[in-house]
Amino acid sequence: MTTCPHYQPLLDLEPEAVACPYPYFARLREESPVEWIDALGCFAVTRYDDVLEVVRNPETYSSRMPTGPQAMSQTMVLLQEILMEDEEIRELLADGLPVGLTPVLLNADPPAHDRQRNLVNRAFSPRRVREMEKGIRDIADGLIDAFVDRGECEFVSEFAVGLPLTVIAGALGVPDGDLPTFKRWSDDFVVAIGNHLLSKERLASMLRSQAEFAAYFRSKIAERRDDPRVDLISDVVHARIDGTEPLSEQEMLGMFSQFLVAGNETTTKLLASAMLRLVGDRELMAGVRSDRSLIPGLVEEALRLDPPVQGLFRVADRETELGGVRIPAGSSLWVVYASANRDETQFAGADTVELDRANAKAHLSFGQGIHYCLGASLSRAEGRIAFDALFDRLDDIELQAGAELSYEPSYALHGLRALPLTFRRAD
Amino acid sequence: MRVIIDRDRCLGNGLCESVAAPLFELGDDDVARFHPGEWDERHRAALEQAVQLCPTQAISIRAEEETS
Repeated sequence: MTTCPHYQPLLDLEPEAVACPYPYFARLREESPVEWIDALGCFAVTRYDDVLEVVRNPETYSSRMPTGPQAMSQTMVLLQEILMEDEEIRELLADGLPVGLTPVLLNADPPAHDRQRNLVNRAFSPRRVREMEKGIRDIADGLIDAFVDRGECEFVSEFAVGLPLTVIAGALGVPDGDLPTFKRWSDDFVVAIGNHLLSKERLASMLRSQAEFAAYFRSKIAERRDDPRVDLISDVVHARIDGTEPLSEQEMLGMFSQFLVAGNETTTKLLASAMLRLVGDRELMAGVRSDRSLIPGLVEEALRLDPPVQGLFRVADRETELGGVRIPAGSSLWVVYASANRDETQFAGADTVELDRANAKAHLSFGQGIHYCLGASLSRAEGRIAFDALFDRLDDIELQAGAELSYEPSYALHGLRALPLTFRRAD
Repeated sequence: MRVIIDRDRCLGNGLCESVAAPLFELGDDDVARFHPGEWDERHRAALEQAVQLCPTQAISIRAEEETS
């Protein structure tokens, strides 16, 4: 093993590597598809077939640390310091485990995971999502209204953030007046899951937000118990399967917190990356604009080429072998979906957009196996409706001249920080 | 040929429906169903893709048993 492996720039979060990590993944796939990375304390798994093997075998590969050992130990060290210094936070935590640490869905294993997942699958089914479509379009139009006459906008903060946030807030029954608070919680929660640079202040902020979030949704859960409505909270509160124990309050709170985080930054980054592809290729933009049936194909290729979640982590619960490499029990693995999506054994011309790719949906950006993204249908619908609305309302969408693009410095979440655009209001 | 859907594995995410309608459809209970009446050999590729894409591998194809 070299002291400075070729992927060092990526580990150092150098801006160019973060913007385009794909060449590093390609070399790993070629030379060392299951590679121990000291700096991460993980094996990096980069080939499509190996990634599938990991995520399809949850009895071997546990999801209990989905954001990896580094993020986990970082959080624990800071948590300990905060608990020693901050009495207010000690008191908050006396009420119970922070919602973000409850093992539920993303960070749960069978049998608990399967019980939880079966109870909530229907809440995000394609049918439920179809019922939400008009509401999603209204939200998109509302966001566009705010800048349509200005001829320019910052696409991320003025559209891509607001759409999924408002959609999930609406689904969770959060009134418009509470949206700024909801957004603050969302930003704070990402600290735990998004692998962002953690500090005591941000962690303390996250813990306070989690306590506020829990109190807010405890009262909503109580409301919906007595007064069920057609919304996500009611679906979760009233989920019943014969012979299965219903969700506990702690499980429900953990789920709502995951819906909030998993559904926000991810979709924001998808919208921004799809828009970047369009403004970077005039022919593509013109083609998709003139034939709206191509929008789903564009969204799917944006998902494949620039997964908002570049990869997640697993822990091997027993000694095993992967791609010819021995994996000791207790090892962590970084399962790099973004690399699998570029594997030429699976996708011919893997680095280019092909709107009519036959196996377009075989990408792993929503994962695979029992943890397959619960919100996949919703995410796809948001993408499709967003671009329909944008094409209806705006002409000549272009990247603002001289715009400098930069990416979030993270392995876990990949996306633009800002995307300045110019356009003309459509007649 | 028989197409079997494992109800316990089905997550109801509708990938099968999205790549191989009209062969697959999510029912009112959000569990997938296969419609044998819609089967035609030209749907072979779509069927195979649905089997591969299903996140929990809930769809399987069995050769029809010969009966004498």
